[in-house]
Amino acid sequence: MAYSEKVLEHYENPRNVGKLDEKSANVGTGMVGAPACGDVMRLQIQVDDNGLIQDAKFKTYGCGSAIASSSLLTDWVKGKTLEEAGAIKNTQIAEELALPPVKIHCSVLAEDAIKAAIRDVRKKRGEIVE
Amino acid sequence: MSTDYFRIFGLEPGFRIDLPEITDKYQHLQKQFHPDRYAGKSQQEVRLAMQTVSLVNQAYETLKSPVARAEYLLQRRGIDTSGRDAINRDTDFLMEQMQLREQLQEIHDATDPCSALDQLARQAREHSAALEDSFGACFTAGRYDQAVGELAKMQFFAKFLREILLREEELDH
Repeated sequence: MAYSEKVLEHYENPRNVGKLDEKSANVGTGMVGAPACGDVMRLQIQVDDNGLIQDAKFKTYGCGSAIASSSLLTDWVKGKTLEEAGAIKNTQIAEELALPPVKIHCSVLAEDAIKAAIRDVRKKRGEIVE
Repeated sequence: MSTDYFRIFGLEPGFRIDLPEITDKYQHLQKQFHPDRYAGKSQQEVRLAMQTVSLVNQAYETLKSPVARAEYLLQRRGIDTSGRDAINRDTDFLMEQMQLREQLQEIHDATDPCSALDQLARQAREHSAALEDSFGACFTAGRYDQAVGELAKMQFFAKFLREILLREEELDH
């Protein structure tokens, strides 16, 4: 399959690959997977006292579109509030990367991951009780 | 001929199958409907035979693979097999998958990459076999939600095994 230039750019030069200390009280971790293609994605955010996302890291085992989706999303969420980050839709990612219909699920995976990371850090900060 | 993949091979639907038996029947059906046997027959008969061969091939490919067979069993009961929610609730499993992929990525640095790869493959096959047993038990007992979850895990290990195979080919060259 032909990848768009933007996907290739992120794939060859992924931003923010790595790991944050998941035990830290201001780090939220989102782990998600896509059974149909076997992709696994870990997305982490670090939040400052004002609730702004200072840093974001990811590690994705999957296709180029999944890697590009998580790479782009970690770039986007930096400097945003949790609310703003949680409002990002997979369609925005898909549009920015020009993902073909068969790869839309990769952007859904990234949206699921940031939502899970936000939920995790909110739980740690006592903002939500489960 | 029935269009149900199990009925095509004269089987009751279920996860446990006897693959050699199915393979025998498959080869027999292929011969029976082979285009060569339809020389001089009407166009309609030829077309029907070709459709049957294609259906038999599809059925065989589906039943042969544990993942495809499990998916088919659930889908013929109208159950959604995407498994996304089930897997995203199981953080421990996803964490384990991440670690396995990391191990695979680092295999080139091992002192003996081939045997490290063998060990990883053996481990993955054991996991897969256990998951298949569990899927079979859940499905038979009618615990379909759990079966969907086990199928999702089988899919991750199937992908992992495919990646191990790719690495093995790389090492061979």
